[in-house]
Amino acid sequence: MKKSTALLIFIILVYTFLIGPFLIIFLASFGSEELMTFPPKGFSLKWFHKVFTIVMFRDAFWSSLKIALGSTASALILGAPIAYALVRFKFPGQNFIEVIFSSPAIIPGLVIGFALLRFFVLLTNLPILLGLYIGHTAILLPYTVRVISSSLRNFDISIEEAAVSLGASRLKSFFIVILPSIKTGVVASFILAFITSFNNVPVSLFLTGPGVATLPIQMLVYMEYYFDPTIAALSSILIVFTVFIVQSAEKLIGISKYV
Amino acid sequence: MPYLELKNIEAGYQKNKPILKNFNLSLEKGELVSILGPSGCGKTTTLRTIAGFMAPSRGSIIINGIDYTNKPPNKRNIGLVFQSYALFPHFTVFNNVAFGLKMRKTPNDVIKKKVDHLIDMVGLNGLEDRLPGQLSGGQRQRVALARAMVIEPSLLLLDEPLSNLDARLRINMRSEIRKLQKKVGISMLYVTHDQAEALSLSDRIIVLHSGKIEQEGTPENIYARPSSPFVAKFMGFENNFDSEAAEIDEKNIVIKAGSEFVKTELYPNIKKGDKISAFFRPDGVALALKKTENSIKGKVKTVTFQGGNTQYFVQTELGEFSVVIYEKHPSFSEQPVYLEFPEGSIILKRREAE
Repeated sequence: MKKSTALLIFIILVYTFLIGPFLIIFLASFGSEELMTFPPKGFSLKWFHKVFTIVMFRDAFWSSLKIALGSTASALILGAPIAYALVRFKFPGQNFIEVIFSSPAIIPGLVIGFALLRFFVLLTNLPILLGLYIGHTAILLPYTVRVISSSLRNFDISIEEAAVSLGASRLKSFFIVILPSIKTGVVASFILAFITSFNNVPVSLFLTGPGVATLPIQMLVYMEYYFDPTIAALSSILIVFTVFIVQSAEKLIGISKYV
Repeated sequence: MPYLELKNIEAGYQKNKPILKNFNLSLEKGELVSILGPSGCGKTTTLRTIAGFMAPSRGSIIINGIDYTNKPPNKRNIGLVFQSYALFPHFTVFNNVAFGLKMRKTPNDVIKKKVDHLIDMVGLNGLEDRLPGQLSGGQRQRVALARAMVIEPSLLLLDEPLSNLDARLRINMRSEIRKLQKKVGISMLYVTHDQAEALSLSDRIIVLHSGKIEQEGTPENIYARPSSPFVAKFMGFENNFDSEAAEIDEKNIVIKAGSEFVKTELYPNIKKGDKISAFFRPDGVALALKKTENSIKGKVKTVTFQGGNTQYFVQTELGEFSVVIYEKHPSFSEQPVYLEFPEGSIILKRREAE
């Protein structure tokens, strides 16, 4: 009895700190006052309406979407062969390469962002959108490499060898035999990478520039000038959007065992 | 010239630690040869080298007069059957079997005909549209067999194909594989660690021990006359004792068994006074209550009833021996008994001088 009471308190605390902030934002977005207040006074949907009228949010949303889709796709196309090589073959320096591909997940985002700023913007003077796209691809690679390697590790290598012995080339057997078997892992890594890119602040912070901003960066900028519940409304929309994606992916293929 | 020939093969996972060294093997057309050995003896390495998944660092592989050493695995036309079946999980039985033909761009009507024929041959009619997940272990292995045979391979390699099946099914499948092989006349190399399996289906057995061929011969030959202590133990000669050749005449050799003497068949390389090791099977000897001609004295320590037979552990001055008796008999309990050696039940091996 005592143990379960302690557990209950613990769970309540965890949920309070995990979900509480979101709940406050969510409720505040329905307030009718000009300043964000909690508890909200009155009820209004005008902030949700305002989100859609602000052009810079719309532009930023499209930039974020483009960058997230593009960099996720690239990270998958690059990550799959890397994962395959890491799992299938033994070669000198393998451990080192594995560490390199997990380093962006370990090194603080700000450090990566700053390094990329030096490299892209100050050294090579790349177009902003391209820089963002390459930067995001780099931080997403560890996710795709790791998730795809873990599903490749669960895949029976004999199946691939059977296909090859029956006349399929390695490349053909990858697409006909391996890919269908690891598609859950591929979809899981896609969603994980997409959300990571879409929500990223530290790296984007350094790589955005005049005329181009991702949605999280645009939200930061907006908050520096205004403190009305528009941001709360936009945040609520994003939370619902993310939860919806993750939930439907979980329902469809059960991604939680890969992440 | 043999159909398949491995010449001086050196292969392994690490460059300076080859598993196979100076390895030679040959197989005639239509022959079923088993490679028998414990895990880690190099039998899977042999198969993977022939299939092309491992490149030998030295030596050559010749099939039907053609050098296969550097051929890529997907161009070898060698059928493979795996212990894990390795079926394509998202393909139906039909499409699994058809895979090799599709890769060869065979016309659809020919595919249909050949696949139907193979499915019929392995007895899977009516299951064409099932997925591998909906099949039993035995059925899956039949699909794997059909899939490997439909391409009319020049050679069929089987890597412990029955190890994942239960005991009864294993015995059934054994004879089915043998029947199928005889019917089609395909050349097969069969890898197993199960001596009963190798004995029951092979034309010839190769016993492999840490990358070297210990003995090669017909099942009868290897079973009756293992040429080394390793093969002897592997073939069920579980009991052994150290001895010495005491007397040799035209027909028999008399060996020392502690303070007693027993006789067995002649061995050309054993001379009087040689130090030898003697081996015998648990079921190769009999137990008696009275002293008989060719026997040694002992005492029953433990008795284990095993249904069809009874196992005894008998303590003698030479150590403890396992004895298995099949017939009905007066039950022996903790009493003095005599271990009786019928003719030829003891095999000898000369011990190298220490």
